[in-house]
Amino acid sequence: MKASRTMFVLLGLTLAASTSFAEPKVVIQYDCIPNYANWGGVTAAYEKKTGVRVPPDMKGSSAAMAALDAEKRNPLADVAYYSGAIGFQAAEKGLHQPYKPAAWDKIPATLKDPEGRWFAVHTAAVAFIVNRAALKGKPVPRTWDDLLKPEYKGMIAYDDPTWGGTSYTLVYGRNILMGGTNTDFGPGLAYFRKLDSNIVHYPRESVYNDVLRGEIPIWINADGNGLKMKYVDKGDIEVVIPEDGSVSMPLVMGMVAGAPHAKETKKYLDWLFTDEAQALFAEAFFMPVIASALPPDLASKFPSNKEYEVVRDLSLADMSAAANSLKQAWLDQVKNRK
Amino acid sequence: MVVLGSFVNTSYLGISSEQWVSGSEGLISFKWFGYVFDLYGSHMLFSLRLALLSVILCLAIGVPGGYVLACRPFRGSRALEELFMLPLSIPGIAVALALINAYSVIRGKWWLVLCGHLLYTVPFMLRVVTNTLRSFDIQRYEVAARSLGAGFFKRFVLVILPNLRHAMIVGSLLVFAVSWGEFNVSFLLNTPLHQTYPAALFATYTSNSFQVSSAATTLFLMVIIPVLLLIQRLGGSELARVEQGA
Amino acid sequence: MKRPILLIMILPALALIFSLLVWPLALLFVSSVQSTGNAIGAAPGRAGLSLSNYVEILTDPWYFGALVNSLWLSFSVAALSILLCLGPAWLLVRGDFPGKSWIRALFTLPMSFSGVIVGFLVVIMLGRIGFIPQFMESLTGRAFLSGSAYQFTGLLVAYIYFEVPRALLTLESSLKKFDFQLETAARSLGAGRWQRFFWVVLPNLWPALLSTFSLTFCVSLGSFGVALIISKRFALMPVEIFQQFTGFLNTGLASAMCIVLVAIAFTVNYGLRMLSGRREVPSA
Repeated sequence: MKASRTMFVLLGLTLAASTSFAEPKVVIQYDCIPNYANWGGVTAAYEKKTGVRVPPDMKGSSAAMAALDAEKRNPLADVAYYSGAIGFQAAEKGLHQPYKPAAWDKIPATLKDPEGRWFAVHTAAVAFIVNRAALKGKPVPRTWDDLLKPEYKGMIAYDDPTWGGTSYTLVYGRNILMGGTNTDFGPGLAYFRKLDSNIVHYPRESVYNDVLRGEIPIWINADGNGLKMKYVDKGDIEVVIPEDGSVSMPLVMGMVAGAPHAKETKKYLDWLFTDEAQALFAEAFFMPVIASALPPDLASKFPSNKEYEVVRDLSLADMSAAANSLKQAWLDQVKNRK
Repeated sequence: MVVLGSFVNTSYLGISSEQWVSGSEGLISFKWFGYVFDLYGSHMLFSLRLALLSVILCLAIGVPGGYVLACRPFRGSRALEELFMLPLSIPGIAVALALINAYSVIRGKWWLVLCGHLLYTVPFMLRVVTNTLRSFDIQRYEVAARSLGAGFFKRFVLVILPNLRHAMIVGSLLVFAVSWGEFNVSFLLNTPLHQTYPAALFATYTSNSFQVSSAATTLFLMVIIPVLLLIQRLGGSELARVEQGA
Repeated sequence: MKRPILLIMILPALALIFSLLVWPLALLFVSSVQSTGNAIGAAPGRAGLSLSNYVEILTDPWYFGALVNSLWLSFSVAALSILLCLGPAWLLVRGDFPGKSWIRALFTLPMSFSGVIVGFLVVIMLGRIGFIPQFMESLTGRAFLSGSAYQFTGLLVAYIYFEVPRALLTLESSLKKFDFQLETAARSLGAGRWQRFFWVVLPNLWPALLSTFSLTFCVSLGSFGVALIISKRFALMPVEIFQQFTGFLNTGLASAMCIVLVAIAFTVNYGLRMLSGRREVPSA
């Protein structure tokens, strides 16, 4: 008698545990880091509005593209988010299907693919995110050359460019700024080789937590992340646009070819360009691509226009074409040369 | 030597627990707990369900299996037992990679994660069961029961199972604890829709602020520490024999 | 006697282990002898079977370094854990004092902590601005051990932290089986404490020590969570496997690395078992 009672309990538990694994309405987005560009807030708002879940995903741009590539025959994802160069590359590889979101005409021509295989949702600029408290009195670096100074030894980090698109953009961008070209990586890589002695390590995932705590004092990454640390998380952070030049980074999305939830995905993409969603991106200090959606109170918190003058826009096509060879060259010459 | 060893370890444990208290400044306001729940609540639920399912399946697989291995050994059963224990020695990521490679078609399904968990939890249940069965002469009871006319099934349910009750409870707790904290295999097998809580913890350690990661970790510990304490109270020595055999 | 029922009872376990472990591992081996190439690099995949992945692991300084690091780390962790636990295990078995079960509980708590948690804990304690360096700094003005979380020391500490419970429990249970009469006899024959230890206790404990070592070694070798968080410039094999598979789509190389780790774990496990088997001292 006791045995059968326990049996029932167990059976009940089994049923409870295994049911409701049925999938609710979902859109799967690769590279949907909650604390990056406020994807957490954006997806929460969307779920509240429509009941459709977009679960968090921690892949970096290159990792997302690699996953799409691996799943080509049996796509699991509906949409992916990347740094511009990688998104462009993914589209070139045929991993995306063309789709023009409802607000198509409002997106600037330079920030979208004519056929709709990729389009920018917001933009950022490469900056130094500096934890002033962690510097312990040392001056805040203002230029790329400043970073080479020995006083910053063991204090700097930038993500592994073979994983994250932001870092790939900054490596490519620095090369161009120093006079290199799409095929000549010499100047840029020479710089990064020198910088290596000041580098703590090359993270393969976000180090937002570490930088905010001061574990890593200087992070070369998107300005938006630093601004969020400063204004939302109230860290003692300064976001520095390098005075000797920087590069802008459009952050793009593309609808995956063969997306399992195509209908829901299209609605989701449409919604991302509404003022409501764009303003949410702005809350994490990523510049909305639909300029009119930027709330004025947030606009004042971005660095001044004057500082942004040195930021160059680069051709995504060029960046994408050089991607494989630059990544490999970086691996060979900077990371693995020990 | 004795004193030093124990002192070092206890103090280390003490310090690290204290770290959590001191590091979780924002914890007093429950705001961060709410944030974690919003964002990763589904992860927690998934991990809980996995743990529960693991317990049930381990009981179903491990108890009969353990009985056969302990009470009805046959040629090669020792080797088979070793085989069952094998996953514990093999790197989790290798197991995960092997599963993905072999069953790439079902990669997107949530129960592949469960399979990984089972590989790592069934050995524990098996061990606890076989240890108990071997520790006292169960054959005598069985013979007695059989001589009184009890059939196999009746013997199993009325003689074996009650004696295994304690082992099953400890085993279930162990399985639950292992499954709840499992990261090595799960990380690679997670699907976008269904992810385990330790994977969520990893996400908070990297991309979120310290307040969020502290809150998330506290929630994790709140589930596992009671379980571990319960295991200790119920069967500290069982645990020892399980570990030794592995 | 009741053959069919017994078979049914053990069938699920058998099915589990064969379909989920044996078969996939076999396929993994097949995958490891195929050259799938680097998704971003200049090395395209080549058709046909080859040992090129294994060669690459052995010849590329980065991968080989990761392998050596993993092996050396696991070895050190296992050895040190045993040394650290010998005393407490002895105490727990021989001593009888209040709060004994609390001590045991305290020690074994970290055992089920997810690896990621342990990793994060170590970063908090021994990172660049870790608790311990800051404490040192406030005492002495210099931040000792700053950043050691990411070096060998920090890794050692992290791994030992969660291996100690395992080692302790195993040693404790083996000590329980130890026939203390032998030791008493030796003492009554006039053997000093260290003599007793080296000539009576150790030889009898040897098999248990070896099996503890092998378990600790294997678990450390495969530990992924901790490695992911704190292995930065100190390369470790499980992380390299992850990177190759997820980032570079180089399934062949990742498989080969896995097989290497599995093979090593196997060898250590069975090798030590054979070794301790032969050394079995019959109880007096």
